[in-house]
Amino acid sequence: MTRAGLIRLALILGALALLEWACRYGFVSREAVIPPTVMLQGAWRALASEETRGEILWTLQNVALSLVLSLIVGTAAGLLLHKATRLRRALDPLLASYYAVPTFVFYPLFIVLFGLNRWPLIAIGFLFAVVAVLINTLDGLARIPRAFVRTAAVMRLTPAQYGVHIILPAAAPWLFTGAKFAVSYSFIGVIAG
Amino acid sequence: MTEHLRVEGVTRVYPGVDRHAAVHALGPMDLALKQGEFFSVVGPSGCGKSTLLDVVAGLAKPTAGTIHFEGKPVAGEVPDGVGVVFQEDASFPWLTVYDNAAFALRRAGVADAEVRERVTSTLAFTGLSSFAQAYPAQLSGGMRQRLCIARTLVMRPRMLLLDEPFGALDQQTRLLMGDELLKLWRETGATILLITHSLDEAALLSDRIGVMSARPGVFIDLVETGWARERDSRIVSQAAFGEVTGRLWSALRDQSIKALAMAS
Repeated sequence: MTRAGLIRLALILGALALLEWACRYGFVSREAVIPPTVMLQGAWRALASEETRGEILWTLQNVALSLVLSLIVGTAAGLLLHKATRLRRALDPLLASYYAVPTFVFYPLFIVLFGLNRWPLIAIGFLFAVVAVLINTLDGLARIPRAFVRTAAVMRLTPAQYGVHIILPAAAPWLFTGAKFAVSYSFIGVIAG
Repeated sequence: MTEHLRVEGVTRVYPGVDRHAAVHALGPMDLALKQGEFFSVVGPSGCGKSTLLDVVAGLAKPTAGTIHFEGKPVAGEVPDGVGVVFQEDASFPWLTVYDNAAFALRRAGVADAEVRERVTSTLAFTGLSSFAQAYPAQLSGGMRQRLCIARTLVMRPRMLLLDEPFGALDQQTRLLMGDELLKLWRETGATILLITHSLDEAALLSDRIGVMSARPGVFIDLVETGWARERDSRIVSQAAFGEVTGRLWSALRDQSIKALAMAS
């Protein structure tokens, strides 16, 4: 482990020890927070139950489905919007203010639309994650240096070669950032939903 | 020497967008380059120098006029045998020096053994052999520009178009890079069209220099330097060098004032 990793681990363990101590000696009310060791015992008991394991698996499947859908739709929409400059300009303010919309208010609507099953949760996770993927795809494509585009033209690359060998690696840092956000947002959307 | 490039009556007008009026950037312009000639273009800022390079390279279509490279019309794409080096660093940061240099050859389906042979000899020629496994981020600005030149040279272009390739370098490095470019020009026999805003660079490197007017750019003077093919940066100390740069500035001064007034 690196020195930074060791410091990080020590900070986490230190914070847990502090919380344990504060809970055990009454500095934090047990009605508000239980000690971390009691949490661990509770978590272990819950994980031992077949029913809880099934529910966790079900949630993870929902997260995975909303993540995959948001990655596919977000990336495709990003590629399309990058080409449709005027439409992008029209949508820019809406995309910028998207996360001000309380997505969870659509949950009852999704229950009406999809029924009382996993799909309303997946839809919430998807809605939460898809725009992060879209915005980062757009950012990545917009930041490909003009010199790379012109170099590709000079090398007379085919559209497929241009996509695979220039666009993908050049935009990769932003595509991965979008994917990273999508993982977090899918978890938040599905679990909070 | 046979004619290599012919530009006839070329103009380029950028159409108006939204509330912005159309911009007549270039021409009408005529130019003929001989096989193996080193020709530079100087002109005031915004006069259409880079636009000229774009239309000659086939990266932009002229609004009017024709361009012929080796007798064939340049129409909508970069012709075979033409290499372009841009002012901006265009090395791919995710590839090593070797893989950058091999990039275009691999995409063109050249056999591995030939890729190895061409890349190895070009990296040796451009002084980058010992950095073959380094990434562009580990190189200096001058070395990255040499890498871009190497990446173009492996394709063995018969005409090189250089758009201010040393623009981001300091004066001493520019002079030394100029020496390397002259060596490369002599050894490859390629025709070179160099776009530069540096009068010294144009005077040092070129057989002929085209001086452009303020926008819309047209040639207002063609200066023959009369240098021998075997030359290097030591000619900057000759009296004749001062005469060439003096003549360039005489032709350019009024145009630069005009361009400055247009920009403000």
